Amino acid sequence: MPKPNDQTYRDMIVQELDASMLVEAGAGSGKTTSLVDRMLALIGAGKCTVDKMAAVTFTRKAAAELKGRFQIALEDIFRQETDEEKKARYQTALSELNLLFTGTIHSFCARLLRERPVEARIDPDFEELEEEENAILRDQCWAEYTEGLVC
Amino acid sequence: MLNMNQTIQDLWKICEAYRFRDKLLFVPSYSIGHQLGEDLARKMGSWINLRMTTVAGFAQELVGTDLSKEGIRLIDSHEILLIIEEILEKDAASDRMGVYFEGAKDIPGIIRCLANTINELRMAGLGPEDIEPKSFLVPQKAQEIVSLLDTYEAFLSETGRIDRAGLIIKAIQTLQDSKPSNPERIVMVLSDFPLMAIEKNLIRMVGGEDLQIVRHSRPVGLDVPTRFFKADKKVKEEDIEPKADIQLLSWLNAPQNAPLPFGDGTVTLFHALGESNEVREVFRRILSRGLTTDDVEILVTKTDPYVSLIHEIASSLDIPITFSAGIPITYTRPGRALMLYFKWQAENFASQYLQRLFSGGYLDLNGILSDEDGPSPGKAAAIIRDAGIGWGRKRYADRLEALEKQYLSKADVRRENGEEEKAQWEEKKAAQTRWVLRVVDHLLSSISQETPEETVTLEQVCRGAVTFLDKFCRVAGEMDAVARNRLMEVLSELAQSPGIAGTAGDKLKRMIEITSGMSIGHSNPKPGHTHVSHYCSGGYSGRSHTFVLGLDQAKFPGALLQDPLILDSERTKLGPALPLSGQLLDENLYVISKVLCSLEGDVSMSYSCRDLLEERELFPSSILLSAYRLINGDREGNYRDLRQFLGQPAGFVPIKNESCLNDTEWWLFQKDLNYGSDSVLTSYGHLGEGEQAEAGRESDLLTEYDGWLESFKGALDPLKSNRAMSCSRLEELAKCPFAFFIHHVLGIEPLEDLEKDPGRWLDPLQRGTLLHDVFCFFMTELKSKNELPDFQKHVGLIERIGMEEVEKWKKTVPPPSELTFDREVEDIRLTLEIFLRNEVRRCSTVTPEWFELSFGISWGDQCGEVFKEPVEIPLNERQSFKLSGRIDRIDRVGDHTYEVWDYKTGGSFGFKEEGYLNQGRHLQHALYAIATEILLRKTYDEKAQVVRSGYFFPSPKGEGQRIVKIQSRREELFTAMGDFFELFRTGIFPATYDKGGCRFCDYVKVCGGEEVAVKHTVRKMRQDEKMAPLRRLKDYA
Repeated sequence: MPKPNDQTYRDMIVQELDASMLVEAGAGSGKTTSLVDRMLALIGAGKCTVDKMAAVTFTRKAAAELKGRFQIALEDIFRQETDEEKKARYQTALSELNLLFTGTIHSFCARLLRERPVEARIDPDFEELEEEENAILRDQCWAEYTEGLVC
Repeated sequence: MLNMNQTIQDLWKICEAYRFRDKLLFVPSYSIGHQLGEDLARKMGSWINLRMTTVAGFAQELVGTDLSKEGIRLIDSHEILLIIEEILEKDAASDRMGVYFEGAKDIPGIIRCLANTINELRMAGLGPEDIEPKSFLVPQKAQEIVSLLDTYEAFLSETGRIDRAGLIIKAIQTLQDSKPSNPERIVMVLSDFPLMAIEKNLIRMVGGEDLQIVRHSRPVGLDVPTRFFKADKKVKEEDIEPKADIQLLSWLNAPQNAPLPFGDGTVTLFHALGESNEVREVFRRILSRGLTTDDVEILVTKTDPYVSLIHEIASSLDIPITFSAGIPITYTRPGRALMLYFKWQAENFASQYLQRLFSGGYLDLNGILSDEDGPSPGKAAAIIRDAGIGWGRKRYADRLEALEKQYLSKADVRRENGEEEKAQWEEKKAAQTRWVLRVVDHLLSSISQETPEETVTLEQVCRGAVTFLDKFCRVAGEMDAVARNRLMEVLSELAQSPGIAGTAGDKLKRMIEITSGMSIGHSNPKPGHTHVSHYCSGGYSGRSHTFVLGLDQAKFPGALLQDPLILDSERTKLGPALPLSGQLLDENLYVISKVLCSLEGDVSMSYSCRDLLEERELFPSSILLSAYRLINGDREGNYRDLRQFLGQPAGFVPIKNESCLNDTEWWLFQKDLNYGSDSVLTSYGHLGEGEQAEAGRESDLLTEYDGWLESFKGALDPLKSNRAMSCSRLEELAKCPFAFFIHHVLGIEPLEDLEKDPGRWLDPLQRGTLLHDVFCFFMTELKSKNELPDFQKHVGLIERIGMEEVEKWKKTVPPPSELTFDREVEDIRLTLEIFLRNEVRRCSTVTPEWFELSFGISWGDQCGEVFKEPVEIPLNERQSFKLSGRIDRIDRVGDHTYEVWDYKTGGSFGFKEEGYLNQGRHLQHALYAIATEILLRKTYDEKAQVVRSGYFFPSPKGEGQRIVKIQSRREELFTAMGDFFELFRTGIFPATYDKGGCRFCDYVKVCGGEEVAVKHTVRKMRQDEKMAPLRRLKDYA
């Protein structure tokens, strides 16, 4: 099979592990695959462990699928890996898979706030508002605020 | 081969070896100990001299008597929370609050975290001296935690209290100071549950060097978590010789090493559409397999929502269930009643909560009003609603007394009119209102505060709640009694908590949080009952059939979340006694693996693959993929393979005839059965009638389902009956005959509760009544003084009258806030100014004569001229009808000529100069013109003639506009009235033909609105001759 014409960039994703990167590509072009490959490369190279990794996606569905794909890919690479050092890293990652964060940007932010409620001055049991509740609360706040201005 | 349940095997060995020696086994809970004892006897044989205990139970036994002698009381976690809250409040009040936790006292979740931290540190055996500030990212945080810990410990000591950690520490000290009481005793501990450092210390001290650690079935490939006791002798992988798929679950975390599957069906997997279907599917499987219900244990990964779903579904199917963790107290009548009682107070005595206390049948008032017959609970709730209380403690007496007076005054009028029976009925309603008032008085006597902002102590709140539960709360059945007793017990304990005062609102919120989280009815497995446990405390029943629910990625093993106060990096520096977030997740995984590999018989593992509320897909936990790999032999199978293996998810429709749980499921199962078939329609008569109604509505002809009341023919004809009509009702008929029928013929009205709307004080009707009264009083006063309106001279007068009326309404309808009140009062002032300026101009050419002239309206506060009898309006020489109403204003414009005006206090939308009857929707100007002529000719002016009528819009919204209607089209009016009466006579009340008409209608839910009923009417108006009168009405411009 001929190599895709953006192969250089695909290689960079799994090789340039110390550089931050923005990948923009069309649907079905293999972004998730590249992301999983980069995550595996980071672990294999010992640059990162799963508990220090966060994979943020747009939807909850994408996050769940990504987690599943990462698990399967990790199991595959662990089976195939011959380098003892890398194999050990993959094994650790497999046993610590529950420590990996995959989720939406909302859940990532919610987690930060729940872990730092004192600094954020927020109740860690907070719930995200539904749209309708938001409207009611906004009206109440406005009424209270304007009342405060008068009193 | 080893017995797969290693715990039972180890226990049996010890029981056999030391049959007559005293044996003590430390277990995580008495319930688990009880289950183990039963399972041991059932599977292995009889045993004696074996006693199960928990760490806290043992400590209590050891030092309980001493504590009691010293007057020291053991507190629970609720009280720890309240003490921490108290300490923070005191610190804040005395400016001793540190900078890191400054403001935390106002955030309940952070206070809860602090209480957990204090408890955790103490259970870990860490004192203030063990907490190094430099171990923390923010040293200030450590200093403040240490200070809090110090203060907390001092508080306990000063106030004669001890917490669980203190109890265990005291037991350890006692053991250190005394000789072993029973050196012959065999001390054992289970190795399959987590323990905190001081708990382990106590067990080690009791057991000494000979402590026996009872092994458990070890999952292959997982290390025993650090908080568990580790047995010296390990169970080796090669010792396990599986003979069934269920035994392969030992390799759940290392499926690649597992032996090949047996395919014997001892492990099954399924997924379902939503948790409720997951629960139903469990019961379907129990039913279709003919399992004995008390040989089944259901394990859940989350208590919420599974416990409530299982409780609800099993109750509806009459399947007896025992819940190891009990059921939420809010499932019982006292639990729900207490929540309403607290919320009633917390939300400034909002009457909706008291209504629910009555209508839900939560109150038992025999004890306090035994000699009186009160209204039914529903009626009592209706009285509270009718009183228009809204909110505010003081308003109850005012409004209920006002309602009582209203009934009594109606009774007088009835009696004057010779309607004795109706008079007695009104008196009965007055008596019932008085009864409700007395009940409310009694209820309020248990509450000390006037408003949620008032300062109270926790003791006052708790004592009030205990009185409520004891004297007012209805108890029906065993569970209710248990719940009430438990709540009274907890509240009495909490009443002894520290007594710093705070706002009632805050104290009530805390009490709602504490009591709503309680559960009751904790039970061991019982004969005849299916048992339900959380997986962490389950799997000990020894039952043959296990269902594990909730194995989706979100629920199991749970989200990784660090403790918000002592982060993982800080915990690591404090030593191994505090678990890290990752360790807690590992523990979850270990525990479920341990439970699964200790099961015998068969197991079903499941998850919900869809969130039905949020309409989104859910994904399986990795543990399910492992189980799939084990039982399918596909060691490299992925999630797609798993989904394929699972097939169709269980849904609302059962897939087997024999698994239908009730008749609804059976009917759903009959997929090939036509919905409209004879068997369906015979079994469900209402469906048959519904089909008939649908067909009728879909047809081109008017039917009884469209509002054709053939049988009513003539019964509603105003020309034959003696009933007076009002203009507004006739106009409503023209707008939508169907809504008219429901409202005025059937008498159905939507319930209107007085609820707090932060942006509104008076509704349009109330505002209109207020303004009409002001206009009437003002114009009457001017007329009595023989003065013409003058802006400078009279603006003060009209404002004074206006403000008097505003004050009257303020008593009836409480403003939600001063701001809203001020805004509406300002709008009323503007309206009065517009009115006055307009009247100044108008009265230079006309003479105002009568104001609020009413006819045929029997009661009410009336400020104008009153004619008791309705006016008889002749349609022709033979026919007439009676009209009642109230004319806002009659002005003399010339010799014997008059104008009739109607005040409209809203906007002028829908009113225009051109046109006369507006499709029958504007009749008032024409009918009042005739009524005025009749009344004036009878009384003041034999030649009276109304030349013009109109509508006056004095509000800022209406911009002082006047819309005039020349009264020269009487014939057209009478023809239209003929069409109105034909609708009545023929009993035709279809829905409106006007799409916009449904926008503000209260009855859209009944007819389906513009998408349903309006479409049918439009079609039928074209096709059916019976609709001719409505068609003609539509044509009146």
